[in-house]
Formats: sequence, structure tokens, C-alpha cells
Amino acid sequence: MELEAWRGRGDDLHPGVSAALLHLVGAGDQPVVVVSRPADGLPVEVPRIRWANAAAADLLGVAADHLVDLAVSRVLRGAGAASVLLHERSTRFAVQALTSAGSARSTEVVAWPVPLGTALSRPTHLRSAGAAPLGERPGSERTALEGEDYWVLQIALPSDERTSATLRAAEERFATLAQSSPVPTIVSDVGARLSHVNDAFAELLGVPADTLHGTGWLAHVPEEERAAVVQAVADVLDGHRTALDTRLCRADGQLRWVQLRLAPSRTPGYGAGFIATVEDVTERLARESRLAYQAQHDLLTGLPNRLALLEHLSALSAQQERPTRAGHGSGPGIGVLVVDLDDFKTVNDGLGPEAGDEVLVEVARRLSRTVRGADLVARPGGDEFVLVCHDLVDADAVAATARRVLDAVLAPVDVNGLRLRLGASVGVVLLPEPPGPPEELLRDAAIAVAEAKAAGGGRWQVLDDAVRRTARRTLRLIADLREAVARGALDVAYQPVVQPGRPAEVVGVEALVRWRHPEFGPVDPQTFVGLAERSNLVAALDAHVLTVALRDLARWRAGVAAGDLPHAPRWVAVNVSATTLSAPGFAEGVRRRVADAGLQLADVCLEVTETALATDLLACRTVLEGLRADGITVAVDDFGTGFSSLAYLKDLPVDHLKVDRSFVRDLHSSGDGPRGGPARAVAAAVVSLARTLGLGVVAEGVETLEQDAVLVELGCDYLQGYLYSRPVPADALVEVLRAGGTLQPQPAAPAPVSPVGSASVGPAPVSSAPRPATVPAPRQVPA
Amino acid sequence: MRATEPVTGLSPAPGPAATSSVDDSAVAVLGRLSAALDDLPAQRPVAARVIAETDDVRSDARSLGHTLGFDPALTAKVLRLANSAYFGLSGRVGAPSFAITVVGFATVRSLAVAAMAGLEDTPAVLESFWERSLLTAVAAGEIAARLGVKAPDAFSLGMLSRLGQALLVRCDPEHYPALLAAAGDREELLEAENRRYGVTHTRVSAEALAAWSFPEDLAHALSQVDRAGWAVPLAVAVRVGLELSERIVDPAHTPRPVEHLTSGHVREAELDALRLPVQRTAADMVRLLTS
Repeated sequence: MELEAWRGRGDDLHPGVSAALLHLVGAGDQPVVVVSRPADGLPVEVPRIRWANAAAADLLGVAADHLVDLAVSRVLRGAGAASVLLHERSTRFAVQALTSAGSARSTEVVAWPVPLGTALSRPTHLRSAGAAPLGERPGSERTALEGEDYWVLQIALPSDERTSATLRAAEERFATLAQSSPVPTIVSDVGARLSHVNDAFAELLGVPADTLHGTGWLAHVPEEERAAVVQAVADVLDGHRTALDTRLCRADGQLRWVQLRLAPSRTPGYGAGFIATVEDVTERLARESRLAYQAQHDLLTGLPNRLALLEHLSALSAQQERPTRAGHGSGPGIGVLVVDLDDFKTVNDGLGPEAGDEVLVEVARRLSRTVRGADLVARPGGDEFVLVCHDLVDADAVAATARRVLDAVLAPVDVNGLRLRLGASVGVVLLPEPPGPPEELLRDAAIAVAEAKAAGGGRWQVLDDAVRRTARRTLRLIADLREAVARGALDVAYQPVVQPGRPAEVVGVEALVRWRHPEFGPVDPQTFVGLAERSNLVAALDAHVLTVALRDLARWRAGVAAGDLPHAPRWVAVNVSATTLSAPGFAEGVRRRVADAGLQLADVCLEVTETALATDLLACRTVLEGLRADGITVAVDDFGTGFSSLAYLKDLPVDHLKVDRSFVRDLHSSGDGPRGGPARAVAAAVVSLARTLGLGVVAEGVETLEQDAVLVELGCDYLQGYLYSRPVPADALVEVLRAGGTLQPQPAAPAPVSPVGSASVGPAPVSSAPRPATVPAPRQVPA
Repeated sequence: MRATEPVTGLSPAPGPAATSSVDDSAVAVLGRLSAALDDLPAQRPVAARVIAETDDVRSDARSLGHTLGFDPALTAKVLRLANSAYFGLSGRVGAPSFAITVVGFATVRSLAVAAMAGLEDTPAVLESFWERSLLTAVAAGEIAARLGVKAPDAFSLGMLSRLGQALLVRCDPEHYPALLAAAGDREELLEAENRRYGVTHTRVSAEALAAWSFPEDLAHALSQVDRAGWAVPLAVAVRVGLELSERIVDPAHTPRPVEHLTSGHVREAELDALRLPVQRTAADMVRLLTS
């Protein structure tokens, strides 16, 4: 092919072009000599140099002129042999270049035969490439070619040798590096066939390196991984850097997880191969999967934790959002059940946290058994479990599942040799369409649980629209209440406490908090006081009532002093919750407010429930005794409804007992006689007890003349109830005081005694309904 | 490293002993052979271009694939080979340019040379020609790493080592088949070839490679394969390939100790271990390339 290039081009070559080519070769860096020998084939004739360029002269250390006519073997040993210079094609061979200084240097020569008849200049003409007159016409010397065969000899440059030596050294360095690298490394030179693996790779697989050459290494890729590995190899050969996680099978059968990182490598003349590192990530993966497990699981029970639960719910939501069930009217019936153990705190406190943990583990095990494959049981925290169940297609299915869950929890648990019976409340939410955020689902389920708990526990509650509405309203009320408390926008109503008589004198008032919501109107005190307790607003509420009540009492006193009013109450009673009572700084707060209003402690009565006292007897006693020493009075509210034992009643720092309205109501409803039956006996016992202990007695909830008569007969000191007055606004009370501060019993009266009272007082029969023990009565307290 | 002695063309003068026995008809054969080396590239111009491009540093799989595409038969061969078990990507190679990537330039070049030499229609007298050639190729490729040479080079030289036989059949259709039939095994054949032509078929193969612009060092290595004495490692790899292929195919073959062939680099046990996998892989390739 090279011959083609030479042949037939020179005949009509313009002399300028030959001169230019000659100049190029003459001035080039590549050492070139032209040699010839007689064409008639006499073997004794040796090829002689006919021309040499400056680079060749430099290399050989002989002036170009002096090279001409030298036998080529004199300066290039090995280039003179008949066998190396062929007519047919170019040849490449090694020679020893001998310099004038006597040194020999191994290099290579490529010999190009000059085709016969080529119109090249007569080489002898070109004695000195540097100085020759290049423009001289060569045609005239043409005959000199005849009878000679010419070759052009290109001598490899020393710099080429250096370059290739450098490359070889670099290659060797790389090979050494790869071989001794602790990172398993493999090198392919073609396709998936390996030409090289390092010791670390052989060690990783536990076999000798040479068994891994070629496609041998693929035998260590497990069948199920092979497609991916081969694909990765295909990708890298196609020029893309690739990485994949896969497994390799060691000689001993052990599977190792490895990360394969493949980089393409291309060798000119060979095509594409790759270099890959094979990192054993088995240990790292194990650690990571352990961490991932811990991040997703509750370590006590091994159940999925809150994070895993939320992820699961998100995935379900995403699934449901895809319209896979087109035409299917109902959803897939996925329900979230929140299971909250009733009274778990009692177990934890009573038997210790270890016992509590044991209970949780047992419950987790049982709940896991109640669900099916695709269902999930999670423990987001505390004593709460969440089940995500499928196929809750109708109310019956929901009921059956909830029942199963409750039964699982209700079965007795043996802990520390004790047989415990637990209860649970279950809240159920069905996944709506479209599904909302998982957090919202869980919040809804928590609302349902709270409903179930509020209904007494040991039951389940589905969050339907009604419950959801109530819950939303509750959230709104809490927010609004918080704002009202902050603004001091709550009203205080007063219910007179009278000394029996005709008319009955108003001796004290009980301050009661009232809230008129700007949108919903008056809010039931039971409702909003409950909300205040749930949202930590009680202390602020109590403080507000105390401040207002003291201000009002001070005003009435001032009215009496100024002669505007004929009468003022001797005291104002405010309710104090257990939280408020035990809050630090409570006593100081009371003293400060009383002093600010210009009143005495003796003007205030603190009403404390029996339950509140029982919660923290010692702390209460300290606080209350301090205040009592300075004249404050303390009344036990709702007496008889708590479980305080008579044994310590005598130790309580109190002045009055307030007989609960339930006893008073029964006095009224008893059919055993005109003046009550067993109820009368109970009331009588309470009064007598109080007397024995030297305490005063106040009867609450007096509504009929009949009750009034019995209580007076039993010797109650004071009476309070609708018979005399409902709770009324301050200005309505002022009217009563202005009228002399006395009240006439009015049994059937539907409205309060005061002509203006009804307008601003709370909704209907608050105080007439018996209050459940668990729901605190409306009250106010200093903070 | 390159030996000082170049590939010397087909002049029947490698040694004084051989020269005398070459008769006139043999000289004519060599002349025809020389002419054939000149003519064949013109008959398969695409293959000739492929060979030239594989040696060009500017070539890549895409450009080579483009050229290859003009010779559908050759393309099909490259594709089939790329999908053979030998390259480990069985069944995953669809595009010709990717096939070139997978098998490597050296192998593509070998296939092009085989096509140019007319090996697609192997003369009937060359019994199990492809089986032997591919056994040699696979075995030489497998042993290459042990000898420190590039497996693709060893593979492609192994595949082409018997190329000269096809050329000899073509240029001496009367006598060469008889020579083949008379030879008891490969050793005898080489001797007979040397006697008649002054060169062996391996040497003819080397000449063909040189004439067709194969990289010089490969042609050079091939010329050393059946020459006595020291040889470059690449030639040694081909020797091992030839030895194993003859052991497998020819029951009459007298095994030559592989330690001798390789100056002690490869042991008999290693060769034995190679035998089965080589046989399996080569059979797969024979099926793919000759079907």
C-alpha cells in the first residue's frame, strides 16, 4: 500500500514540489539517509549512502558530506544485509548506529524501496542538505538512477526510544501499583476477558490469580447476578464509567457483597477494555443494614418505629393515589388503628419500668399475631401501638378487627409473678380518598383514641365525620381560649353563698369563670375548663379569676364605705386546681394580688377539691397552712366524691367542707319519706363529721325548699344553689347588694333571682347537672 | 523487543540445506503465492481497509464499525464471535461497533485477514481447518498471560497460524493436497513443506500478514513459531496453542513436552488443565464462525 503512494506520483511532479519535499526531509528532525546499490544483483555490491539529512549527520556524528558513498553498514550495522532491503515492500529492522565517537546504539530502521523509474533527483546531487541549491532541476541527472536500486532509510529517533521507554516505565509503575494495591483490581484488555488481576482480587475470591484470567472470573459471579455484571461490562466497554453493587462467590462458597467500579480504558490498535476495582463492602453493608434496622425499628419490641410507620403510610398513600382501581367505588379499605394501653402508667410506676417493658413486649407479640401478612404493627412510642390493616371493607370488618385487637390486649399478662389485666383504647381511621399526609392520619387516629378513652377506655372508636368535627372544633376552641385568656376576655360570674334565714343574708360569693365565644356564644364551663387543663391554661385562668374577684370585692367594700351599698360579702371564694396549688410561687402570688387589691387574706376562701388535696398532700399542706396562718380560709370542694380517707381528713389544713351537690340532690329525689331516706343519713353524717372536726359546712346545689329545710335542720352553716341564686354577673350581684344583700328562696324560678342576670351568664343548666368526678367543676384560683 | 532479523519475504533461502531441494515448480508456486498476496486485497477491499484501519491510532470502534459494515459477511462473523462464550458477553452484543469493542481490534483484524485469504470457503483437503485454528487461538490466548503477552495478540496469531495452508492449496492445488495426505502429523508436514518450498506454511502465514500490513511484530512473531531456537514470547504462546490443538485433534500427534516449547514457563499440568475449557470454547466458536 505504501508502494502505491510512491508509485506513479513523481513522473509529473513539479520541480518546486520535489524541492519542497526535499527541503522538508532535509530540515526534519527524523534522521533519514538514502542508499542505493547496483540493480544487476551482484551480491558483492553493498548498499552505499547517497544522501543524508542533517538529523542523520547529527545522530552519526559525521558531516553529511562525509557520509556520502560510505557503505551503509559502516554506520548502520545490520542495514547492509541483502535480506533486509526488499524491492517489494518496506521493511523494518533493528540496527546498531555507530557514531564517529565509537559508540554503538541500538535503534530501528524502516527501509522504503524507491520504485524503479521514479523521477527522483539524483541523490549525489544533494551532497549537503543544508546548503544544496534546492531549486536545481533534477531531470537532467535522470540517467544516474539507472542501474541502481534506491531505498530511503528512516532511523528511529533517540527521542522516540525515550518516549517509549518512558511509556514502558509508566506502564510498569502502574502494574506494580495495581499489583500491590490492597484494593482488588482487575484489568481487561478485550471484552469481558481479564488480562490481569491483582493479588488482592485473587485473595478476595480465595483462588490463584491465573484462574481468574480470561473469563474465569465470571465463574465467581453468582448466576442471578451475572446479567447485571455482564451489562455493566457492556456499558463500560461502550465507554461509560459504571458502578454496581453485586455479589461474588468465594472459593469456599461464601458470598461477598462487592462494589464494582468500572472505568473504560482504550488501547490504540486494540480497542476497548476496562479497569475495575472490586471493593468488598460486605461488612459495611452489614453495618449499614444494622443501622438502617435500628433507624426503622423500636429496639424493645422489634416492631417498626414511628419513622418506618410514616414511611409505610406514605407508600400506601402513593399507591392509592395511582388510579389502579378505576371503576372501583370504594377504596381498598385500609385502616389505621391506634392502640393505647389504659393505665399503663400504673404498671410502670407500680411494678417498675422493667415490668412495663415486659408488658409492652408481650402486647407487641400479641398484636403481631392478630394481623395478616400485608398488615403492619408499629410502636411509634410509649404505650402506643399502631396497626395498619387491609381489607377493612365495611363496618363489620372494622368491628371484628378492633375486637380482635382489644381481646389480644385484654387477656391477662403474667409479670413478676403477678397476673395483670390490661385494657386498651382503640382509635380507628380509614384511609380517606384522596389520602392525606400520614401525620394527619395519625393525628386523626389519636383523636379517635382520645374519644375512646374519654368514653371510659376498653373500647374502640372509629373517627367518623361527627368525631372529626368535634375534634376540629376543640382545636379551634383551644386556640381561641388561649387568646381570650391572654386578653383577659373571660368573664367572672358570682354565685351567692347565704346564711339560712328568711330572708337569707349573702355572706360570701363563689367566683366562677364564664366564656362567651365571639362566634359560638357562651361555652359550657365544663368544656372549656377541661380544655384549659389539657392545654396548660389553668394557671393563667385561675390567676385571671382571682384578680377580677379581688377587684370586684374591693369595689363593693369601697361602695359600702362610701355609703353607696348597704352590704358587701364577707369573702370571695375562688377555686384552686391541684396544678395551680403545687405551682411554685403560688402563695406569694395570692398574697401579692390580695395586697394589690387592698384586701386581707381573710377576705379570700380557697376552694380545693378533695382529689387535688389527695394528689399531693404534703405540698398542699405546706402551702395552705402558710396562707391559713395569715387568715385565709380553705374549703374542701365536692366533699364526699373523692376517696380521701377520714383518717387524714383531720390533718387537712381546712376550714370548711362543701357537701357535694349529689348528696343534696338525693335529698330532694328520695322517695323514702318527706325528708329523704338514706341520702339524708349520709348528709347528716357529713355534717356531723364536720362538726366533730370543728369545720364549717357549706351545702351546694340547693334547689328546693325541701332540701333547704333538711339542710338547715341538719345544721349546715351556709347554703348555695339555684333556690337562692344562679351565678350572676358582677353588676347583677351589685343590684342584690344594693337591695340589702339578702335573698328569698325561689324554688321554681327558671331564671336567676336577679332581673339582669340571665343575659350574660353561661348556658343553661350547668350547675344543676351532677358533675362526673373526673371532670373538674368550673372554678378559679389564684396563681 | 524486536529481533534483528526481519521477515524476509518468500525467497526460498532460510538455510543452505533447503535451497538445493526446491525445484522449479516450487519456485513457480512461490511466485503465484507472491502474486496472490498482492491480488487478494483487491478482491476483498473492505477487509483490506479494515486491516489498515485497525492499525491506525485514529480509529475507534465506531469508525471501524462503519467500514466493517460494507462487508456483511465479515460483520456477521465479528458479531457472532462477540457473542461467543469466550468474550463472556454471550447474546448481548447487537451493534457491529460494539462487537468490535468486545472482541478487540486484533481479532477483527484476524477475521479480516481470514476473509481476505478466502478462509470462509476452506478447501475440503484442509480437514478440520477451523477447529484446529480456533483451538490454537483459544489456547494461545489462554496461555498468553502466563507468558506476559497480550491475549488478543496471541489469539489472533493463533487463529491465523495455519493461514499459509490455505494459500498453499490455492497456489499449488496439485501437489500440496498430496503433501498433506502423506504427512503423518504436523511435524512431518512442516518437513515436507520445507523440502518442497523451502518454507513452512507458518512462514507463509507470516508473509501474508506482513504483506497485508499486519503489525510487523505480529508477523515477525509468527515467522518464529516453527523456527528452531529462541523465539519471542508471543511466538511461544502460539507454539503452545498449536501443540494443544494437535493433541486434541490429531491422535497420531506425538506430544512435545510443553516445558521444552516454552523454556520451562508452562508445565504439562497447566496445559492439561486448559484442555477441556479450551475445547469447549473453541467448539462454540467453530459453530458460530462456520455455520
